[in-house]
Amino acid sequence: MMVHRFLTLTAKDLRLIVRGHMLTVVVAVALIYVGLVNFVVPEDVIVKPTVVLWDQTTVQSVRRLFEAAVDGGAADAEIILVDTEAAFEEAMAVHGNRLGLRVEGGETPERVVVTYQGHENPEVRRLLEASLRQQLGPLRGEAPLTFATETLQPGTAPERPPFNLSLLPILIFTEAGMIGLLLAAALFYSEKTEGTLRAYRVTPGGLTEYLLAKSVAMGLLGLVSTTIVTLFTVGLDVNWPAILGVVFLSAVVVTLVTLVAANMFQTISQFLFTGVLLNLVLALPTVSYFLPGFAPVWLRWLPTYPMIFALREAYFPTGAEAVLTGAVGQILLTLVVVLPLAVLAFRRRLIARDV
Amino acid sequence: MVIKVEELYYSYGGERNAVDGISFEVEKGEIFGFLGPNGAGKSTTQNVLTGLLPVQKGRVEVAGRDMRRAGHDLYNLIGVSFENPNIYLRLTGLENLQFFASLYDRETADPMSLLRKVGLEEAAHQRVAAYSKGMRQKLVLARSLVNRPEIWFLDEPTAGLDPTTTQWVIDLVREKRDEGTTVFLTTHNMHVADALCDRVAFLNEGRIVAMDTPRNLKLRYGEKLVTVEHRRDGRLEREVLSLSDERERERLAELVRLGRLETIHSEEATLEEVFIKVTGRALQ
Repeated sequence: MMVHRFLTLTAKDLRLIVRGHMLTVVVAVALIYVGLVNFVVPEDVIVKPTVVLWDQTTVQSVRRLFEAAVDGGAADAEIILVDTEAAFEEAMAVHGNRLGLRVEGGETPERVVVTYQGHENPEVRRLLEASLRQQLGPLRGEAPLTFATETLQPGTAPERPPFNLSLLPILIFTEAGMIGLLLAAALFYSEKTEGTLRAYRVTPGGLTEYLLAKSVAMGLLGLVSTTIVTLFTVGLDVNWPAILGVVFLSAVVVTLVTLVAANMFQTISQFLFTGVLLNLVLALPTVSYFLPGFAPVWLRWLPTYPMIFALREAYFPTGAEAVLTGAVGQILLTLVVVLPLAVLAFRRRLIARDV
Repeated sequence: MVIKVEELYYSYGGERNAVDGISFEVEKGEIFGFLGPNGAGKSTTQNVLTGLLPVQKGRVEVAGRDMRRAGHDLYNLIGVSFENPNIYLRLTGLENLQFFASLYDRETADPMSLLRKVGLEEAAHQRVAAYSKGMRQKLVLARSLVNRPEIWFLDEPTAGLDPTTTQWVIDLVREKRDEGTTVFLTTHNMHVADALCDRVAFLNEGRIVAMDTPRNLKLRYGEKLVTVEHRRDGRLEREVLSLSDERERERLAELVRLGRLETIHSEEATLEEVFIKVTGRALQ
């Protein structure tokens, strides 16, 4: 009977979503995203890198070369000069966008070691190395200058997708999760305003079915937008079960978190500030997406953190199955914790305020 | 007893208890009116009886279940009609009833038959947003009957309705009572209460100040009056005489003796007048 009630509630919520034009909004936003990915955002963007240079030679010819380039305005990179290994490591750790250049040798340079963060595009790497060979090769005269590379975080992203497609996990997360947050709140407050939640409370229906049905309805809405965006950007050749599974679970969790927060306020205007704040906090893991070096523990504890990285792995598999399964496990665990908390919060609040 | 309330208190945290130690019982098949002005504690009591508010102090039994421990299955037995028409405006009348009917664990009434019963058959497929207030109130009443309740809670069921619809509501309540349904009616409309209730309780500032049948209350608290019409010098005159006043009783006897009386009517107090007499305050 509980399952029957849950299905009925879900069907009712889907009907309200369609009639409240929420589906229209979601489809429209999905189509805008398709347009952005396909026609607006370029496949690659050139970001001016910062080079950490440690010239160990006595003549410091490479250093002088770079300084001259900077002074002459010919350098297409910012240069940070260091003199010790500790300073080199420290400078590299500051920002995930930095490249390292260590020049080894006695009086003249003999070997140049390029230090990567690990997420650099192979194409970018090849271009950089070719440029360095061209610029620094003549410094050794007849003797060949040897090149080597090292990577601080190997395997972070050996094969990066084009920039426009790399935005997909963020766009999907934003629409299925974050827009879901606002729509879930709107759906909840429309019931609260109509008083239908009060009418529901004098039926045998429980809060677990009520909350789950809303979350599942928002999850299904997320699947619609995800399908549209994915189909018209990367096509059919992706891991659909993983993408849809992660999106669905993520939307369910975000909706539950939203409902708990919305339940604390009487009107949607009272909730608005908290809703925007919640949206910002839950969206913080997108920073880690673009800067993998920035992933403090507190950020990883946010329920949205695993969602974004699971989506990335689902769209652009690196073979690290553990990323996907671990993230799905973490989302499921969050769901198991959040659902009873949501039921408890609703019960206390509804009874206290007789909603 | 299908409803039993003993020493019920409820407080919202203010200086005065919203419900202040009330006790009453409602028998099966009875229409019990809970009357009082706004803020008297009527709705709070009904909300406790229907589980929308917890029992803070006292004892409440509904359909044989202690409301402190009653589970969701209680709602299979009761129907609640709210004062404000709380229905899904984006769903049609039929969809509203179908949705609520699907939530119960017992055999429910056919939604279309219910709509026919409340005169909304033609509007069944219209979205409720397009319904008038009266139509919405009828839909709320229909919804509260969808599970064929044994106890029917009605909160101001005629508020804001026109006289025709009000009469229709009165007839519907009588019909359900005749079918064996117990009715708990919360209202400040004394005419509706007088027309419907087997017993009424007057609630004032959270306390029950009088409880009996409407007739007994009127007899106990109302003044016994007669209105007479008689002719004097060919002119028709009208007088209201109190039977509890000795001089006025003598005046009535004189009119009878002289054979001048043309009409004579007994005048009962209204429930509203009784309420004012008991509480010292008006209902509105």
